[in-house]
Amino acid sequence: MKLANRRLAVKSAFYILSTMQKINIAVVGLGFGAAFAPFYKLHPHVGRVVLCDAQPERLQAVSEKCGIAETRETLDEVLADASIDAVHLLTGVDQHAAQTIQVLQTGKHCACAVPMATSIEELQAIIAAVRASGLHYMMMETQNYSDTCLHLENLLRDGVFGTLQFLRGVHYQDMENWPPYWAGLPPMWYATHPIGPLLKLAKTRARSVMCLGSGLMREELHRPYGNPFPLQSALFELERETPLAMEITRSLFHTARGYLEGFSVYGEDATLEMPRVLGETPLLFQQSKLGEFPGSRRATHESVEVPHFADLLPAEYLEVAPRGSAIAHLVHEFISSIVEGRRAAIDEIEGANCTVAGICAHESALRGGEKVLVPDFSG
Amino acid sequence: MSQQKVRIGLIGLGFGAEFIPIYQNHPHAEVGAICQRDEAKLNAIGEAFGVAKRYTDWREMLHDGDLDAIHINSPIPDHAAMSLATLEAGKHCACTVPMATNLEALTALCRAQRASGKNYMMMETVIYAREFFFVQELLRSGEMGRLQFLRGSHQQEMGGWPGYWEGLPPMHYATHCVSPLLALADTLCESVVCHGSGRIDEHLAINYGSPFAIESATLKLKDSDVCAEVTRSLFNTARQYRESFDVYASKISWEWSLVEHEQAVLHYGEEPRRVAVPDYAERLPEGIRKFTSQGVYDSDENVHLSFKQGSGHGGSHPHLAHEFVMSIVENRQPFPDAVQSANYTATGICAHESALRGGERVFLPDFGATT
Repeated sequence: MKLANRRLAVKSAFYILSTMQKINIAVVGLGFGAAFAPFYKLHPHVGRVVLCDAQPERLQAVSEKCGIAETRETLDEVLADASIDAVHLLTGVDQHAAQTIQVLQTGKHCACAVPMATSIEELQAIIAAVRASGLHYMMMETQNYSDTCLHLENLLRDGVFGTLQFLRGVHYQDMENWPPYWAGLPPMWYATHPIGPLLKLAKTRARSVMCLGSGLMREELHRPYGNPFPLQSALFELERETPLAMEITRSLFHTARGYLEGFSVYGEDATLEMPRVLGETPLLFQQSKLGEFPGSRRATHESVEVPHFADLLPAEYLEVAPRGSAIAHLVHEFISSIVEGRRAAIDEIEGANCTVAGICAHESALRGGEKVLVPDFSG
Repeated sequence: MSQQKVRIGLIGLGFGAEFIPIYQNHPHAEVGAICQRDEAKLNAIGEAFGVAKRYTDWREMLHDGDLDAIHINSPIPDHAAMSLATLEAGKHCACTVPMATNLEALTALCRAQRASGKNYMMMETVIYAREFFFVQELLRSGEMGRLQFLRGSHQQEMGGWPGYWEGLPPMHYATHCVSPLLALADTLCESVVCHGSGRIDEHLAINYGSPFAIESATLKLKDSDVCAEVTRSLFNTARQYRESFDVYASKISWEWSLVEHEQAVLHYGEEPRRVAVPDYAERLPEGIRKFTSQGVYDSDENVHLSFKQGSGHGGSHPHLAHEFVMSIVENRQPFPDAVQSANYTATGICAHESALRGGERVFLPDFGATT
C-alpha cells in the first residue's frame, strides 16, 4: 500500500509539473504532415508549432490554412533552432533513417512516418542514436491507432475472441505517378500498415518469415531497388507459446485493386474480418458452442459499426475531430510520452520490430522464398 | 460423335445420389448399377431412380462386366483403395475429392491409370462451378490483363462431424481452394511452404497428430512467376462456411464474397463493382441443364449437408458428369486428369507436411506428364 501510495504521489507531482510543460514541435514534410499540424497546434502540451517544407508554395498554403505562422524551408534550419524540442518527420521513405538520426543527434525528440527505415543497419543505428541521446522516438503508424485496432484491443482484452488462431493483413495501393522514390519500391519495405496493428494486437513480434514475390513488373521499375516484384505475399511465424501465423499481402504496381489497408483477426470464438472495399464496415463472426445447436458449431455474422475513441483524446480536439482520428491519437501519444517522461507506445524497439519484419520478408522473396529469421530488437 | 453410352456404376449414395439423375439424363451415359452398404437405403434409392442392379459390396460391383466406369462418392479414407481397385479392374474412374490422403497412394493411382489406359478424374466441384467458368472466361479473353496473384480459402467448422473428420489436418482436404488456383494459372504446384496456426481441442488434435486450427500456405507454381496463397480451417475457428478463390490481375481483379448470398467483386483498376455471375448450363446437353440449379434433394426437406454448405457446389455436378462421360466417349483425357488431380491433392498433403516441419519448403513429387 505504502509503495503504491508513494508511486501515486510521485505520479501526481509529475503530472502537475508536466501540465505546465509545453513542447515546441516542427512538422517536416507537409504532404501528409498537413493533416498532423492542426492537432499539434491544438494540443494542450504543445507550445509553438513550426512548419517545414522544401516547396515554398505548399509551405505557405499549409501555413495559411492552419494559421501557423512559423515556417522553415529546410530541416537544417529546424535543427539549428535550439528552441524546438521535437521534430515530426513526414518526408520521403528513403530519407527517414538519416533524418531521424540527425534529429536525435541534434538533441530533439523525433517522431517519424512509416516505415522507420529500409535496412537492418539503419534500424540499429536509430536505436543506438535513441539510446545515446536519451530522447524519445516514436514510429507514427496510423493503423495502430485506427478505430478498428483500438476496438479489437478492447474485444481481445474482454476475451471475446477466445484463443487467437490466425492473423491476416493486406495493403493494396497502386503507386503509379507517385513521388519518384515509390517507383519499384519493394512492397514489403512498406508493409507496416497491416503488420503494425497485428503485432500490437498479438502483443509480440515476428520470429521468422517466408515471402514470395508474385507477378510481373515492367522492367524500368526493377532498376531503382533491384526489386522485380509488383506484389509480395508473406507468412510470418510469431513469437508466441501457441503457434500463431500472420499472412501479409502487399501490392504496389500492376495489380487491379482499390486502395485498402486492412487486417483480420481469427479467433476460436470470434473473428473480425476486414471489408474488401474501403469505407465498408468489417464483419464480426461469432461461433456458437458445440451442442448449442444440432450438428456443428454455427457462425453468426454482423456488420460492425466500429466505435470511435474521441474520449481518449484532449478535449481541445472535440471540435475539429468529434470522432477522433488515428492522426489525433498519434499526436497525443507522442506529445504525452515526452511530457510524462515515458516511452512512446510505438517506441524505437516496437517500431524496429515492426519494420524489420517487412525488410526480412523482402529478403526472403529475393532468395526465392527461403525462411529468414527476423532479428529481435527487444533485447 | 458416336452414339456410345457409358455405363456408370456409382459407389456411395449420400452426396453421390445427386449424380444418378444426371447420368440418366445424359445422352452418352446410363446408370448401370449403384452400390451402398446399407441395403435398405440402397433399395430405397434404387426404387426412387429406377436402378435395378444394386450392390452392397463395392468390390463385387467392380467385376460387373456391364459397367464401363465407376463414380466414387465414398468417405475420404476409402477414395484411394476404391479408385485403385477400379482402375485395376479395367474401368474408368471418377472420384470425389480428395484423390487420396498420402503421396504414396497418389503415385500408385497415377501409375495404375497409365497402366490401365483408363480415365481417372477427380471430381473437383469448384473448377466446374459457375464462378470458375466466369473468371476463367474473363481471364482467357485477356480482359483481366496479366495474372499477378492468386488466393484461395476454404473455411468450414467441422466440430461435431463424426469419424474420420475429427481432427483431420486442414490441408489434407484442400482441393477446393487449391484446384481453382492451379486450374486458372493453367499449371501445377511445384513447392509449398505452410504455417500451422492456432490450436484445436486436444481430443481432436491427437487423432492425426495435427494441432493446428488454421493452415496457411504459399505455393510456387511450375514455370510461372505467379504465386498463390491458400488458407484452410476445420476446427475451433469462428467463421461462416466459405470456399473462395480470388484472382489478382493487372487490369481486373476478382474477389469472392465474404459471406454467402452476397455478390463477388470485380475491381476494375481501383474501382470495385459487384457482379452477378451467370449460369453456364448452355454448355451442357439439354437433358441435364436443369441440374445446374437443382439437385435431387431440392424437393426434399433433407437437403444433403455438403450440397447446402457448398451452395449447391456452384451448379458443378452436371458439368463434372459431362466432362467425365465425354472424355471417355471422345477417347481423351479428362480435366483434371490423374496427374493434375494428384498434383492438386498433393499440394495440400505437402502443405501439411511443411506445417509439421515448422514451415520448411516441401517440393511436390513428379507424378508424370499431364496429357
